Amino acid sequence: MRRLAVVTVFLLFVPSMAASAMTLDEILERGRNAAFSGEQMISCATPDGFRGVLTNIRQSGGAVSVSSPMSDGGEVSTGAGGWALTKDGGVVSETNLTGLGGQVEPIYQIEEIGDQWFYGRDATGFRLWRDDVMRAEMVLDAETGAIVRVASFDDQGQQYCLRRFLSFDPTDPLLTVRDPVEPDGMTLIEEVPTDIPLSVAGFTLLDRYRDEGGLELAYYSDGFFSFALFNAPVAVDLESGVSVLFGDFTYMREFSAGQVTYGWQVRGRGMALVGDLPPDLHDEVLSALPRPADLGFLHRIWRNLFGVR
Amino acid sequence: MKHPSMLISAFLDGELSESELSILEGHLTSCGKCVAEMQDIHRVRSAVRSLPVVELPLDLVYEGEPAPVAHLHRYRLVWAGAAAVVAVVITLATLLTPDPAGLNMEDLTSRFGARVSLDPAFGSAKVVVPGWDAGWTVAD
Repeated sequence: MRRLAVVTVFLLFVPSMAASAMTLDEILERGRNAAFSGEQMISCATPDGFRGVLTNIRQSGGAVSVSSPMSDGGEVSTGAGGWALTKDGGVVSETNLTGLGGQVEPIYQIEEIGDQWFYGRDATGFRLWRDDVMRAEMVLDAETGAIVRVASFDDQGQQYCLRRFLSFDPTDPLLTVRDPVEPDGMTLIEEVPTDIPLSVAGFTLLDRYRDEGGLELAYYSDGFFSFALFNAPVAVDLESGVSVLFGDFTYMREFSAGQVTYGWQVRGRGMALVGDLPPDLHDEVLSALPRPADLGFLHRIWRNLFGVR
Repeated sequence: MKHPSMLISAFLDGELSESELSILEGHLTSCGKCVAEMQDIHRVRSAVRSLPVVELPLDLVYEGEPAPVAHLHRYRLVWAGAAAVVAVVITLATLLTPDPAGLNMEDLTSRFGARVSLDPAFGSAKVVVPGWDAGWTVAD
């Protein structure tokens, strides 16, 4: 009898979840193709202190351009697997991914929280639940589908990061997607990896890429949060990072507004994790990845004499 | 009395002086042990001297100048010094040579950002610009 009641509640609950998911997907699809601009604030309460930044964001034609009056004048243009940092009109750094990445079935339960009102505009609110913990709350502009406010939370319900528009203009800023520039590309790897997990802490490995220099990127997502795992033939330099300990293992960590980066070395190869996952998931994820391991003295001699192997 | 073994050996080699010969003869007249020893030594020497002489092969004989001991010693020192210098160079190279240029935050952010842009749902909501740590930063 009790089991029947549980099943009944489940069946009553699931259709509304599915309907909400479809609605959110539709709104996100509209938002991806929308054109808008505005001033956005990002603030994060991290274990290493508060991180915040004010940005100008423009989106049009599938391209996104972001700059910050608080940084040194750089502007990021991204979209369709491309990413470029320009300063004073010149390209400083650029990456292009070749090959369409995989997708993941979201593990989140979606709760619609109804109509919202954001800066005088109609909007819709949603909450994302994972393992009965609310991980995100977002407000999407009803006309454009743009995410005008999104907050992420840790497993204790504490807010980790908040991105919200301080001004929002739905007119088209007329951006164009940059043409990719070779040879800074990364190519999709088809083989199944054996040295990294296919899933960890609710995150699924979606795809991997490698560039000509031997740098590999593995991309994990749980449908909302995501991170990239890097495996490089050189070390990872986190100049502003702090040393943190997980168990018996030491990592370098650096938080910025909206992003966390870990760096460590595994027998002469540099590894890094870059993502937006909240701090309570860091330990569980790192523990499933290759652990820091020092390079032997003779190995270091060999590398210094003859270069990277 | 002490038996004069050294005098017996010298006698058989014909190296005794007259006074020593007189002493030995006086002793032998009253010591049968020394007489027997003298006869044994004489017998062994005669047997050894009766062995045939064998010519050594020519290539077994070194005909050059013998290497001065001082030169060998000097070579060893040179080799030891060279080995020490090589060891020092390797150690210094290991300690002083900087590691190869590593990946910095910009390298990582650019690649992560490129992949995130393929995310159909939340890609545009995850854009990060390198150097954003230059914004508001309040350490604990």
